[in-house]
Amino acid sequence: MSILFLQRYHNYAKTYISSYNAKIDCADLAIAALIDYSAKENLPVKLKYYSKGWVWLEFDPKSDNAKEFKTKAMRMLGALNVIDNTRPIAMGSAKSGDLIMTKWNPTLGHTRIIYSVKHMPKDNKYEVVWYQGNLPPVKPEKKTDYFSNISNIYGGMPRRWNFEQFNN
Amino acid sequence: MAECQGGGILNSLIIKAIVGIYLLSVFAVGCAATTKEVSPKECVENTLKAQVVRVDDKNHRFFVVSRQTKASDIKDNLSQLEKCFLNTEFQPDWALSVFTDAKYAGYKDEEKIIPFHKNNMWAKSYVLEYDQASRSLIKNPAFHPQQIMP
Repeated sequence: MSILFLQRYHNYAKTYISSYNAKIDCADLAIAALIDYSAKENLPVKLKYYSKGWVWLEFDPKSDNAKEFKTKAMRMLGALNVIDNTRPIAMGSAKSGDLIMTKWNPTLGHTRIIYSVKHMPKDNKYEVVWYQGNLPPVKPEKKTDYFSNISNIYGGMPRRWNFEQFNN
Repeated sequence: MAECQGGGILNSLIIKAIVGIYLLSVFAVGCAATTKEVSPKECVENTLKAQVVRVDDKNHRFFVVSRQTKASDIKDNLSQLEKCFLNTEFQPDWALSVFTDAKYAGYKDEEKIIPFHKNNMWAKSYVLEYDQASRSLIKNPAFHPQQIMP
């Protein structure tokens, strides 16, 4: 994905997560933002999950129905699958639409979608505002905390969708 | 005789009044029983024969605790459950989250719930989720979910 499309994704996700007004699971909110953005920009999406080997869910904007693909992806993928389809990034480069993940056990995790990041140079801390769905599903909740205060962050770093795999 | 007749009429009136008051009171009690306000919580508890241990007013969710409630209990009683929320703010999008134990009745990221993720007990205890807005019913939503409805 080009830098232009990436910047547009960050902007799109920021509006998407803060205006989403229905009950939703945490991973589903992240997946919905990604797929709705890709559909809007006519970009492909490739998401993998493990089921006796890696299985790919592929969205071709030229031929596939975005709503159907989104429904399928939300049904098949959870927070741990989001981890499999993202890569770690430095806290300093995290932007809206990037993710802060948690893995509590081999089958259960949590997804937080970054809305904004503010660096506090005095303490060298990052104040993060994020939105999240939940389980049971909720209307996205806005939360604020220092990144260092968030417990059980997977890999200790925020993550970004692995956009590179979408075109392969 | 006149006195006796007069006393008889009086007695008859008193008896009629007593019977009337009695019938009125019985009727009043009967009316009260049929029109008594039943709260949505009581209504759901009576319908599912389960306990509502927590209400999330923001997300219009009842946390229900039961070891017996099955997907069919919700599916087969949907019209009755809909009546429980009639003319309430919950009506368009009420939700039921069924757990097997009250201590697990909560959201997965809550401080009091997180310790239960170590052995996956929270996920295993969360047995049913019904959402009225999408009319979806899911068995084991957090652990091998199975879509029952739609």
